[in-house]
Amino acid sequence: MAEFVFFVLALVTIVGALGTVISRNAYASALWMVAAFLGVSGLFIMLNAPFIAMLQIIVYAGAIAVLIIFVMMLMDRRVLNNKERFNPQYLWGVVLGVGLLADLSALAFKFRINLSHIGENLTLNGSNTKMIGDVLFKRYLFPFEITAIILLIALIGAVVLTRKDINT
Amino acid sequence: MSGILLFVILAPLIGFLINGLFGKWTKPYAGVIASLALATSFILGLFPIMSVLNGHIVEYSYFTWLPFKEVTVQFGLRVDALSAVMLFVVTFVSTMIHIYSIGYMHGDKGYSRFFAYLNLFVTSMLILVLGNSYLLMFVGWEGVGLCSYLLIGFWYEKDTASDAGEKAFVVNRIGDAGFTIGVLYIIYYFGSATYSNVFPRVEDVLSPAAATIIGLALFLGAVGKSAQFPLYIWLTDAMEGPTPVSSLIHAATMVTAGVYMVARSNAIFSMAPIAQEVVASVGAFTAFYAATMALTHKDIKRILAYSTLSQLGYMFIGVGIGAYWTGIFHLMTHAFFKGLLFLGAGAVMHSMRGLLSIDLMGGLRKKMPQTAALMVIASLAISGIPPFAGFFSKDAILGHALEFGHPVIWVVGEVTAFMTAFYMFRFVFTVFYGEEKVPGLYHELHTHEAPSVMTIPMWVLGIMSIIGGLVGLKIGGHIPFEHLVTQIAPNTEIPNEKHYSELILIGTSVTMGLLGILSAWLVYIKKIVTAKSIANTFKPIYTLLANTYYVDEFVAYCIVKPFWWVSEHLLWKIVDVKIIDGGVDAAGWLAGRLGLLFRIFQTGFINQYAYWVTLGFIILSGWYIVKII
Amino acid sequence: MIVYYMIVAVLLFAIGATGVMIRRNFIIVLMSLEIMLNGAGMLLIIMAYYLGNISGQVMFIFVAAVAASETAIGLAIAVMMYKRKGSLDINNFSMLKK
Repeated sequence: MAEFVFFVLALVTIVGALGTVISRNAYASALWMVAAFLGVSGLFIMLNAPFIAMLQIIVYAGAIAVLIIFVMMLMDRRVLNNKERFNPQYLWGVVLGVGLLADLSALAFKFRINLSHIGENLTLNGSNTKMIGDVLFKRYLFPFEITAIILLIALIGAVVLTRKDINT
Repeated sequence: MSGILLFVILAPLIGFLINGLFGKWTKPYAGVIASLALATSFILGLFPIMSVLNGHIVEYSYFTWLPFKEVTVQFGLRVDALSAVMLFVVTFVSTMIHIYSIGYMHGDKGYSRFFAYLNLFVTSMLILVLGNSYLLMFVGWEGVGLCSYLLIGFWYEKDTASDAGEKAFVVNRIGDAGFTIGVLYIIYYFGSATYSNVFPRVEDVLSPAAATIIGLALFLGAVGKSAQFPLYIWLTDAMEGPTPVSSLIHAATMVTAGVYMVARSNAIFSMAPIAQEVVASVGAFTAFYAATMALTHKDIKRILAYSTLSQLGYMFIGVGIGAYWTGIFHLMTHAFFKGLLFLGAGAVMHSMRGLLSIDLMGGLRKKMPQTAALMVIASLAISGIPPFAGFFSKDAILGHALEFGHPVIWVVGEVTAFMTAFYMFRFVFTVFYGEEKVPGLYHELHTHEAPSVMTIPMWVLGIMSIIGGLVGLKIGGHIPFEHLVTQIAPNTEIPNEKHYSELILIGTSVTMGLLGILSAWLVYIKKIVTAKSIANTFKPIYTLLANTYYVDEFVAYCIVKPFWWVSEHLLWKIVDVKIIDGGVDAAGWLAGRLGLLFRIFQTGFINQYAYWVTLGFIILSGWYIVKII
Repeated sequence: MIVYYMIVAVLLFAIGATGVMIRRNFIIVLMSLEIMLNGAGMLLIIMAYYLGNISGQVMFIFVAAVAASETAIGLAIAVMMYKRKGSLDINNFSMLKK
């Protein structure tokens, strides 16, 4: 049963990702991306990470996808959906992508770790969220603060970049 | 007490920081802030001075400044009889000149900058004076040099002013090199630069030869800072700065640092008769030489500058012959009356809209009665007429010169005293007496008496010029000032000290002074012989003096020109262009060639950069896979 | 089973990378970048599960934050380029060469 669910979710993910990269229409691309993100979040639930799965749906499939679609809505459709989808030398890109895939797959097959703790230590009093909160705000407090600053800088950067055109 | 002593230095530093950092906002009050800082410093300084007068030595160590392995230098301050005199002179005269500057610099666009520099100068000067080691003295030494540079070039828009600042800095470097060598020798021999470690052990550690070398090296520093022959050339150009600066830095305090340093090193100099002889001879020569140049100059500030050189020469005679207290005594009285003379010249310039030539002035007494009276007082003091301050100190120096067996120096000193009286009263008579030289000029310039913010400090200095010498009066068989200073700087012991009747000594000095005044009166008031006819009679000498012995020309042709030639033909055209630039060009050429190669990859298309990144990643991870298989 | 999960993550990464390399539309390039980041983040979750260590999941939160920042900046650049060039073709953006 678990294998079946996994294969369905994996199929949704991979097809969504391929659809994002291949589709001609940018809107369609964005929707394929949402599909891929939803598939990934399903996989996260299977990996005993329900909190992260929800985060994935809210942040990626929700916020980021909506942001991208929203920006696309501001633009001219003809500009957005350019006739030429790919680079002139796109075959090289595909070859390199396949090479990357082969490379990383070889590494994945070669990968060996101690599997005696599968699924352990991921919950505190039966709650995955509590465990994440505990670790995040105790051990990773400083990186957490830094992340907050990064988000702030990104916010300011985005505002400054789009405020007005830079004179050249 | 340690906090009070620290705040003596910190008060002007705080003033500097306030005016230096927030000068834009403090501008209307900059002078008041700076003067208050100085007044605080002066009042706080009175506490350690009182303690010294009661026979103590105030010395505190605040923190370890340079913790080296073998030589540890503490940041410590020390007030003993010698530095107490200096502390009093520096803070007192500085306070007066700060108050004067409020009026003098009024309306200048660098008003707050000026006071920031002045406060920084006083901070450095106090570090120089109060530091308890040679290294701390060196910090102050360089600090006052910097401030001198900044203040000479204060009106930096004028080329002459900025050039004069650079000249002062460069010439002082020569002296500073000597001072550095001397201090390094001291550290080498004693393993410490702190006074209390060095001076008690001088006789055990130093051989007479070593003492001579150290003494001469230190004296080279003093020659640079105190503008003695041959490094005096910067001082006259330094008159480009504002007049209060000339008064404070180039007459009253900074230039006397060399005298203080020699007196401070009295233990070393007393062991080295040759070094002492050099100090006294250079001092006597400078005193005479500078006085001759002061005879012919027409620029009021330059007359005073040469006079300062001459009086510094007297101080070096005092410390050179081994009667250190006389040099310090003259330093103190000179700070009062020469500070006053410069302030008076400043007041004249202020009301004459910056005119300097004595040819344009005359009869100013009617327009500026207070300034005229003060200038007469100061001139009487510098001429050595009793009971004014200069009489006691100058007489002490010359009397000791004769008693310690230097008759030639005594003769030179007396002749110089005559010339001093002559040129000072030439100045006074031509500027303040007689008739207006240019009719209507004063009316046009609205010449008027200086405001009271300027005259009051001048009156204070004037009173000090009258009574300041009384500490050198012999009371009950000993002189109080001598008693105080000789605790720290005892006179060199002379095997066969001669004694002369004091009446004859005093009589000669006073006669010389009066003769000088009389001849000036005859020439410039009675016009029995006009100055022009004297000049025509001794035409070659007059030309030589008026051109200041062609020393500036000599320096330009014999030192500056060859220096430039070497700089241009060797350092610039060969070393710089061929070797350094060649090397840089070769590096650039190589980088250019490599760039041509790597340019191929820089197409500007973002996708292609992604290709290269991915390719690199594949190669790296592929190498890893091959390794683990 | 771990290998299958890893293969999915690697596939996401490789497909995303291919998209970055071949697409001309700047916004789709940004989406491909998101997919790449998601593939990398997924590997963190996989390892958190198989190693029994919660830190991987915490790291994913940081990755998500950085991805969000990157998208915000990227879209700001896209908007600016659109305003200046009237195009989203990244081959028109080749200003680095000049």
